Amino acid sequence: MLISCNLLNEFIDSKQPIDWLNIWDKFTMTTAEVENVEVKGRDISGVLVSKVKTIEKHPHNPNYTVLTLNIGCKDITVITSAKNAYVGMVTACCIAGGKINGKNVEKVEFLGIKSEGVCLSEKELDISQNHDGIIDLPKSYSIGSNIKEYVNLEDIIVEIDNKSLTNRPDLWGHYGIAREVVALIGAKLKKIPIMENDTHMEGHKEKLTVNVLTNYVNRYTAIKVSGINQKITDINMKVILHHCGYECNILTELITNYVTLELGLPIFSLKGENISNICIKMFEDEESGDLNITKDNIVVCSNKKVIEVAGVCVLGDYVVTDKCDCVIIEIANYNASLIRKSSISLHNRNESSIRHEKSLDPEMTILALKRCLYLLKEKGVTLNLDSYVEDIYTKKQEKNTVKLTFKKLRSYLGFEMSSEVVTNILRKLGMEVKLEEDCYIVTVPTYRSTKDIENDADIIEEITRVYGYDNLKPEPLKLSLDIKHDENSEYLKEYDLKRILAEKYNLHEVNTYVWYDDEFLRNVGIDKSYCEEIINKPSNKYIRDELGLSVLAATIKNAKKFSKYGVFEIGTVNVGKLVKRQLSIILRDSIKNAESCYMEIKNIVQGTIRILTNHDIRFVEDEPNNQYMDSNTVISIYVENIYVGQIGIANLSITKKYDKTSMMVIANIDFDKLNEIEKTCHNYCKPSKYPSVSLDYTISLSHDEKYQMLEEKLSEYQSLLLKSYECIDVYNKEEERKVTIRINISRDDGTLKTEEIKDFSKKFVSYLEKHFKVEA
Amino acid sequence: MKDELLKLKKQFIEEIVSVRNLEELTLIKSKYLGKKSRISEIMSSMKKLPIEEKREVGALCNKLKNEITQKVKEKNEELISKSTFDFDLTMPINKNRGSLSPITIVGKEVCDVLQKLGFTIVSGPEIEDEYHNFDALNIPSTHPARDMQDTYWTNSGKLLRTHTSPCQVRAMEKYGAPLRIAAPGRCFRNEDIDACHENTFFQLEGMVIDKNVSISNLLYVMKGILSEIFGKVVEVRLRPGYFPFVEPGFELDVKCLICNGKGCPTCKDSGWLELCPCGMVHPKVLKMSNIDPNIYSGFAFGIGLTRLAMMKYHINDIRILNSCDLEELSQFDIM
Repeated sequence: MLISCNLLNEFIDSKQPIDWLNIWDKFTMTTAEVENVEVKGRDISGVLVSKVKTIEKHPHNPNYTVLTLNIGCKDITVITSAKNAYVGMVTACCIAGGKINGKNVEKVEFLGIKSEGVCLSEKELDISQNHDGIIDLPKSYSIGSNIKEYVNLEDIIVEIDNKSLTNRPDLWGHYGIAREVVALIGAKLKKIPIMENDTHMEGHKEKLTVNVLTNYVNRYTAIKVSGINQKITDINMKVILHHCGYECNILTELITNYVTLELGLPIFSLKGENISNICIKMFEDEESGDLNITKDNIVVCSNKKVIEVAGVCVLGDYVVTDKCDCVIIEIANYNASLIRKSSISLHNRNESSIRHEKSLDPEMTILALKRCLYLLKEKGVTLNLDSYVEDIYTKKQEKNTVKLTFKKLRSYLGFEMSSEVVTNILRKLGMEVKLEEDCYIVTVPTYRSTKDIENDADIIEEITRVYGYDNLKPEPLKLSLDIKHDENSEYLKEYDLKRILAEKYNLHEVNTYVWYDDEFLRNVGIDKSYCEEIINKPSNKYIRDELGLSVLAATIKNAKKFSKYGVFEIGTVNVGKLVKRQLSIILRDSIKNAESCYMEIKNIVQGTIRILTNHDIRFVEDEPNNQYMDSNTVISIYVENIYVGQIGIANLSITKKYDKTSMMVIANIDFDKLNEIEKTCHNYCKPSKYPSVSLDYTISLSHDEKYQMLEEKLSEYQSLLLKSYECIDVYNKEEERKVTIRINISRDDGTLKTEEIKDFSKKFVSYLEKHFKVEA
Repeated sequence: MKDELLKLKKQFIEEIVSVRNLEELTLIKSKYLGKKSRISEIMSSMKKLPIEEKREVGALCNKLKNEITQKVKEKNEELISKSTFDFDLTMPINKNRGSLSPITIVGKEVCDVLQKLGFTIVSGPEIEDEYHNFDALNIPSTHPARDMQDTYWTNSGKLLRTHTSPCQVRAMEKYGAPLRIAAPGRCFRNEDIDACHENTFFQLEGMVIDKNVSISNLLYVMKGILSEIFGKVVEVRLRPGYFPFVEPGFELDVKCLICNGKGCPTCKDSGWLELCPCGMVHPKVLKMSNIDPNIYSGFAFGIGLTRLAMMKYHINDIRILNSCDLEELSQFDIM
């Protein structure tokens, strides 16, 4: 929001001139964030009020005219391209030696004629956006005087971050900002002049009937006036409005926008002819032109026609133009959130609706209307008041009363603040304060009661911010020793795992989105439309139910840049109605290295799960539980007989679309399940002090026989001597594989005898031979 | 002869220096001290020399033999004490190394600081319910943040959490007061993506609740945390800020770390950097989670991990962080 310091000056009674350039740092520190302070008009000098005496076409270029201007002390010649000059016109001319926007103006010769200055448009003077011709000033201005004697070109314009005003409805107008500044610098706030109930107010001719038929209207104030079609303007109001972002071409606009700037309330004016009754209601089936108004919109109607979407916009036929003589000036206060919804549904969030959303003080509507009438009268408009002021006030805004205990204030501040300081601060902010035995009873003005100050914490904020946060000294926090929580955070577990994957296994962490990528799903032919959907996302709207597919897409994305690499992610998925955490690891290598790559990922999975749980894991050949793994390559992972995930190679039919020569092996692990498995602590087992004996056996496995079968049989074998076994070699030979197993045997109570070893070997081979072909 | 002996000595010294193993040493030894060595030949031929010269050359030969014997002995000891491994120690090692996301690195650094200060690190679901994300945080049903424009809503009535603040609520519900928690995590906002905006970003929420927790305590703790994070004492200041779940609410600025408060493009010449929103926990928020605001007070703060990571690594495009592009992301190593 843009704020004019000239306008603020109108409302502040200060003995000392206010240092407007430096006050805004304090404002930022106590009230709201000032984003920018811009000095206006100081780069304009030497601009004189001038009168056009003669106009001639330039002899060598008909697009230009040569003006003789009287600048008071003398006549000068100025060349201009403007077409609107006329003899007798009073305009502004920057004479040679002056400055416009910081640029020096000098005498220049143009096609043989010397120009001694530059005639200026309103835009060049920063009065408005109008650049159609040179400025036409009032005839009453004294020729030869500096324009700044009449027009307040110099101002300081301050931009305040709208977001930081969200909770301060009172600061949406200059009067509210002035009230805040007054509290900060200790000056006095002037009363804003309004039209009192004098004879003008009573001169009504007809009644404007207003009916409010919905609970969403807090207050509706309106009046019908005529005589508005008068060529009256006020250049200084226009400058302030322009500096604050408003452009006004007609009188009603000028006045209503100016009062909006002053008091913050959005004001609508509507064509008044033919309107004698107004009804404010929820939309039903009234005529509404092309607008897609729904039953959720509040509308202002007359004779079964919508004339305005409340707080949002006036319908085309009722927009006031420069030809209108009779208007209805309307200031309303609606339910804030309904106006917001209404403006969003109509794709028309504008200055008016944004202001309505802030829960402005309904007490202000009558003040704003009377201010409009006052200004119209002050500017010399001969007004006819065609109606009474109609004021329907359905929800009276009360002043909030808040109790703040001394104890609470001390607790929040960390020190004792004297009641004198407290009351002084609150009273400066317009609050009434009553001291009781152990508390303050604070009555909050209505302009801060709508949604701003409701409880003791709000009052503490007011005290502390005006007292100055810089005046608060940092105090160490006394640590409570009875903190009960000592959560073994998943976040830290996840971090440990990530670090292992990156550090030990050289994998790269990626962060994929929580939703599937539509294009990827389409390309790989996987349907995820059964997944939870984000309703307000036009594309990529399905929330993933598994992480692996997202990480696969991320892996594929890098395929053209690297040949062998691995990535991982721990991320959220939505399975049914459950939000879960999963870990996905993907290794990418050439197809010829598929086996080693597969074994590598098994090794990674085993290593990480062991570090997290201290349990051994078991791999079991299985069917894939997703649509993208090759069914011949899938093993399920079990920890303590609990299924925790799968490993498998991504279907080549998918990956070959992106990358013809490589394969990707994926491990998907349910991180939540892994977390549920308690980390085991193995008891100490004293190693036998007697030497163990290693025996190697080579087992031939046919093409159909898997190592898993051999392992099952080995794990089933019962012998007190058998301590451990491991696969030490694999030899592949066309139709057959030879797997060498090393068996370690020992006794806990003595050295094994040769007979015992022979006996074990005989029984063991005999056992294996029942299932496999064995070479001892 | 004398000249030849000197030449032999010089030649021996050159050769023995380049000997790398015992085999080579044996060859050298035999070459200079063996029966067929040149020195032996010279010694044999001395008989023909006049006595004076014989004496002189003989002495030279013996001296040279002794020197060579000594050098061979020294070299032998040197070679024996050395291992026989012989390979190029300067060959490159495997340069492959993994990487963590900058967000993970920065998040852990912040968590480490908070853990030292007695905070417990907690987590919460990314797909949240309306109650924990809004209602329990004093964000009324009419608040603009709930609009479709700001929040991703799902067809089952849930939402993708817009901040990590729901973790506050869950921690209060689970543990009650006193409480000292930090919750890092991923958040989502309905935003169009560009170099400065992402719909998926990371925050860390911190909260302290106890008896008599004051704004002065908040200042002290925040200064301590940020000084630890940035590795130097930082100056902080509070400004008013509005967040429905805190009252009073603040924007916390740190004195610009680049220009030390003098004013530079990073701090837009203000000398201060806006770093984290914070404030005293709103009494309504405490009450909603069954903590009595008349007994307990507390403060909460939010640190933008995404922003912190961008500041730390001088990343000027937020999209890099979620790009999954290893060319970009593999630079970040493991901290």
